[in-house]
Amino acid sequence: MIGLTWLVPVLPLAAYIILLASGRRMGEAVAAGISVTAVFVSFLLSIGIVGDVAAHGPAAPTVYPWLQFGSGSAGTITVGYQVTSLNALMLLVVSLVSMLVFLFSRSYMRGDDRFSRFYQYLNLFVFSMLGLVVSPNLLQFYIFWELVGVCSYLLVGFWYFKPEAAAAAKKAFIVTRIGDVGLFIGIILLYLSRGTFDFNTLFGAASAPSGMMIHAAAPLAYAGAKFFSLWYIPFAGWHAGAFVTLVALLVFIGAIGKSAQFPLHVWLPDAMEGPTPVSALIHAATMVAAGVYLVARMFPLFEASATASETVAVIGGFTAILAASIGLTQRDIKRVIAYSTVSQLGYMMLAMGVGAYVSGMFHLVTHAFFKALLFLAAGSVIHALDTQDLFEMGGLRKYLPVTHATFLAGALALSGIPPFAGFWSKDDILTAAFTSGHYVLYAMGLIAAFFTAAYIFRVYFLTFSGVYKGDRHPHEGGPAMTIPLIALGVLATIGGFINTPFAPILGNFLQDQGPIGFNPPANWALMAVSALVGLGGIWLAYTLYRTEEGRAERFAQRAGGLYTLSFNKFYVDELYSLIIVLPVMKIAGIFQFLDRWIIDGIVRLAGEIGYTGGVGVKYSSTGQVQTYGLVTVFGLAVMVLIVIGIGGVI
Amino acid sequence: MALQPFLALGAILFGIGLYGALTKRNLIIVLISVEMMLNAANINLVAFSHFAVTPNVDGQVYALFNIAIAAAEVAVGLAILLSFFRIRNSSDVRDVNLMKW
Repeated sequence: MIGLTWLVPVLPLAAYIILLASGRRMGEAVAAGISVTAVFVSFLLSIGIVGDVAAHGPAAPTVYPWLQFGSGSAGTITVGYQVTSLNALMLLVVSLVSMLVFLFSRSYMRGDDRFSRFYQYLNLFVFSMLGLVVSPNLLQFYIFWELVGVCSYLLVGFWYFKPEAAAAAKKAFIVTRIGDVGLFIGIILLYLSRGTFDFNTLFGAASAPSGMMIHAAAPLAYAGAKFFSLWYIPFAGWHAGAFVTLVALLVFIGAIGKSAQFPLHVWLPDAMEGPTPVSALIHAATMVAAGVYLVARMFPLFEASATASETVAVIGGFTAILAASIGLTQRDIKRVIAYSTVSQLGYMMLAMGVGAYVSGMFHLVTHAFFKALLFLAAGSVIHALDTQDLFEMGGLRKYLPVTHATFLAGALALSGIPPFAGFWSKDDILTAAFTSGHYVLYAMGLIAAFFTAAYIFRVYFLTFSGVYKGDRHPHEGGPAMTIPLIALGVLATIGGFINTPFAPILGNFLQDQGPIGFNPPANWALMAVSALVGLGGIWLAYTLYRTEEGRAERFAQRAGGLYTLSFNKFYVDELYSLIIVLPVMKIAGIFQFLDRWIIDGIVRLAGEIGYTGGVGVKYSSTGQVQTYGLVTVFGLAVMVLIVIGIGGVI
Repeated sequence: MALQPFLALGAILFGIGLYGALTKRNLIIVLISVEMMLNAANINLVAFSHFAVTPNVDGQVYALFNIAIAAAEVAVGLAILLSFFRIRNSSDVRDVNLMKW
């Protein structure tokens, strides 16, 4: 099966091309059918690949030379694909979630004018994401990294006729571009230092045989001096450690942008202007996890630099608590879940930062399931009610039983209530933070977990319990909607059992080439604490929204400034528009003025002189032949006089 | 006889013709003035042909050519004049103002 890996991304690409070629002529059923089939086959192949990797271990990368610009391996850029346990896992998750979202979209997007176009973009996205996952070198990785960014732009702005959607698409693209620049500089520095883009040889010994896994070479990272001695430092006078830290931080800036971590998190909540299946697939399960995947893929680099790892952990922990506290007060159902995504990605970064590689990837997987589920359930609610405002919902348990049950499963998983999926992974991360001695980060994670349970059950109670406040007749959206919900609901419920302390299947699978990073030992006391914190959050939401009318409002009033801060997202957007957007617009305005009126002005003036002069002069030709003749004679006379004056012709 | 009187005659004739062509309002007079200028040139040609260092017949041949051309020109000019008169019912040169933007 590993030999067929190339087919996994190519199938959605083929579907994309077919849809592109047939355009609007293709019916909805056919377009959706082709797409779902393509991704379904990709999913089956991914299962086979995971089985192969589990049975025989990872395979050597298959690469083909692409560009030859020098001698030796440094002068050749290759393309190809590579299967390690890490990207086999990602293949499985991405294709599974994509398949379910594709199915869901069939119903959600029914009747949209550009239905086939929607599936085109989705297919292109899935191709890019799968391509990103199987990339064997950083350059190819970067190309697909940008491609998923473009697809995100296209899909967020899918309803471009809404001005907010167009603005959100632009914001998403530009903000992630800021991170991408950092990543690109990091990649170039790595290339200068190591003479290769290949993941395999990047961190391995210079003599590492091709096909050796990056992870196998990872132990070198622990022996710091030996690791650094292999590095060529392109800056004179730099200590190798400082250089590695610099590169790691630059790479992490890329991950910050894509995974919406703290300074660059502002784009993700706005990206909710896109259709809900897009939010579920791109902005919850797959693309935003690419940043975490990047950190996992470059794990030896981060391991080699304590400063960089600490930065990753701190940014992750801070993002987790910041986004969770914003999520507490938002009114838009999708925005709450979006902030939840930011917060959960923060957890993953926290895990990567403290070295808990397996915990981070584990949380990525479970999060992909339960967050895609929450988004799709929210999509089902929006589909039924045609509103996203939480305070216009209520009592939907009666009308949407399947959505209710699956949303509850997702909410419990997100809150970290045993035995749901999120409990095992989140607890793993918190344990790792605690055991590795990051007590402050642990406390932040714990508070964020409390907030998480509170905000998601706030959504749950406002949406599904009580009485319906609107005047529509909500109903379920048919099997194309409910089947993905049920499938993801099951995964969110039992997905955690792939890596329990009793049976660390995922851990063993990911570490088939030897241990990577830090595996926290099971700690029952900490587990109990996180479960209790989750229950506490649920209790808070219950008392505020279910026991007594108006209690939540009173609570908000008592919180005063804190509530305002949270409701206004800590004014980060306002701050950015004040210190970045506004000055940039001003400078751009000045340059626009210079360009339009000074540079263009000179050019236009030249043309204007010719034109206006011509128009003015034309009235002097009156059509009177005798005047013409007179002017000619006098002109001749003057010329003759001049010639006589200067004494000769010329 | 010397060359100068002939040249003087030609110059005077040319000057009168030029003045007439540029100032007269009647198209026919303008045409006649143009003929005068041509004939001034003819006088010059014949004079030079006779009084040159090595007198020869070339100038007179050119003068004959000029007379033929002048005849053709007058024919064309009168034809234009005639058709203009039919359209505009005028022979005033100021009414001929088509040669502008």
